[in-house]
Amino acid sequence: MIAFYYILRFHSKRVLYLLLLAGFLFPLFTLFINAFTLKPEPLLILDASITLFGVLTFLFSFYLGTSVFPEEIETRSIYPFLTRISRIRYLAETLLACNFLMLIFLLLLYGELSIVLFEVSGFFSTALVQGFLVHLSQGFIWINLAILLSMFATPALNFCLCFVFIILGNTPPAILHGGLLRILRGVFPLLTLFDLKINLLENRWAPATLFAALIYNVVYGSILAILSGISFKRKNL
Amino acid sequence: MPPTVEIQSLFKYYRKQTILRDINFSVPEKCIVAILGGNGSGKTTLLKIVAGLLPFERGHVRVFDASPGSALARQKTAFLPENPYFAETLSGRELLKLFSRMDGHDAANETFEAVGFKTEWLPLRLSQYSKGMLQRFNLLQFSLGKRDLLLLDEPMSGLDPLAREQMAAALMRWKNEGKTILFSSHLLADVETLCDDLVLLKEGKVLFYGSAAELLKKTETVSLFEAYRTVAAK
Repeated sequence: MIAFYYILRFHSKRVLYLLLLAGFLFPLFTLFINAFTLKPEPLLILDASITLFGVLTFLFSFYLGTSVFPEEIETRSIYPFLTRISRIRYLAETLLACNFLMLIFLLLLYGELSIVLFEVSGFFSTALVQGFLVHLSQGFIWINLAILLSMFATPALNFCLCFVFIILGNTPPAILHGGLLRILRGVFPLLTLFDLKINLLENRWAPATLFAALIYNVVYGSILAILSGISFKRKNL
Repeated sequence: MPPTVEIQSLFKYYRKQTILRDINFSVPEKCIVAILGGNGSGKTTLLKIVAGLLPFERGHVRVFDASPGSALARQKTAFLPENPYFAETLSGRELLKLFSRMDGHDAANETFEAVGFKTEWLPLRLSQYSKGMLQRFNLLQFSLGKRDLLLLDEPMSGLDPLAREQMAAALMRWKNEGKTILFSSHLLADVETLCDDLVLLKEGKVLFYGSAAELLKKTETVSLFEAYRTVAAK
């Protein structure tokens, strides 16, 4: 029920629709630009779209995690719910709603991209499934991270911290050597486990690496969710 | 039979500040108990702890012989915050439907009438509600669950005289229905006529717990205001 409530709340957030629109228009835009060239380049569309989808996944999940939940705590509109259901259930349903919307968001974007690429190249790229799954599992991490951080930080600080997580998460482990950096590397998510761009651009199907990356992201995100649960249980509301 | 609410040696700290210190009192079944105290005395904090909304650091709090905020305590407890806070982008109907589902039953017509909430307000978004409409909506969601323990934070605050009278009548009606009520207030006149016992708080400490008559006797005063002033000045 809280999940439904959250979906109703997100329904009124225009930013989410703007992000969806941006993601939706971009492949069409590249298709339009391609129409002026002699030979449309599906790889160019794919490359640009995947990069943008990565950014949009972060922004969308960050917004999901930092808009309604902290607002509920801040305005105390959470009270009537917490006198009816447990904090853990409230948090679990919040995460469920956020991840469900993330799923819909990526389904729409990747669905449209598949159609656009089919128009250009004449075949469906199964490698896109990899992109969808990787972005979905990364979105899971960002949502959980944003919710965890929003227990302690303001949205602006939360955004900066999430950004640090993205930068360090995408830094290859080899670059960060030395004691403290190594420890830090262990704390931040390892987002380089699956090279989305290379696999997608070369239309390479790499189930083993993909599976490892997905498991890693899900476990990492789940640890963040557990930490959120512990923090939320003891939080002064 | 154990009291509905039992509080022993309760301490609450917040950022190195002691909000509540060594609170001890109990609320017997089917009684109205009022918590009195100035601003910042810890009334709301105490109510939120009993409602299970705030954790506490030291002490023992039992609600229906269970921990506050546990499934059993939640099932039997309703909390009315002082200021109504709701998601303003939703309509009254959407939110009420959600609360009804959580409570397991719909709001009866009598509940609407009892709190003075008109059904034609339901399709409106909560951002379109006036303060009075929001307060009535708050009261409506509070009355939905038919709980046994009612916790109300400043229920008379900001109400016009007529609404205050309605609220006082509602409290008496709930008491006659066998409910236990714990509420905080600034208004001594309401406390005097309504409650069986009162808890006097000052800077997070209980200065007095007992009936209004006992307080008058103890302070050798004739009015509750004087008694309150005498105790609070100590």
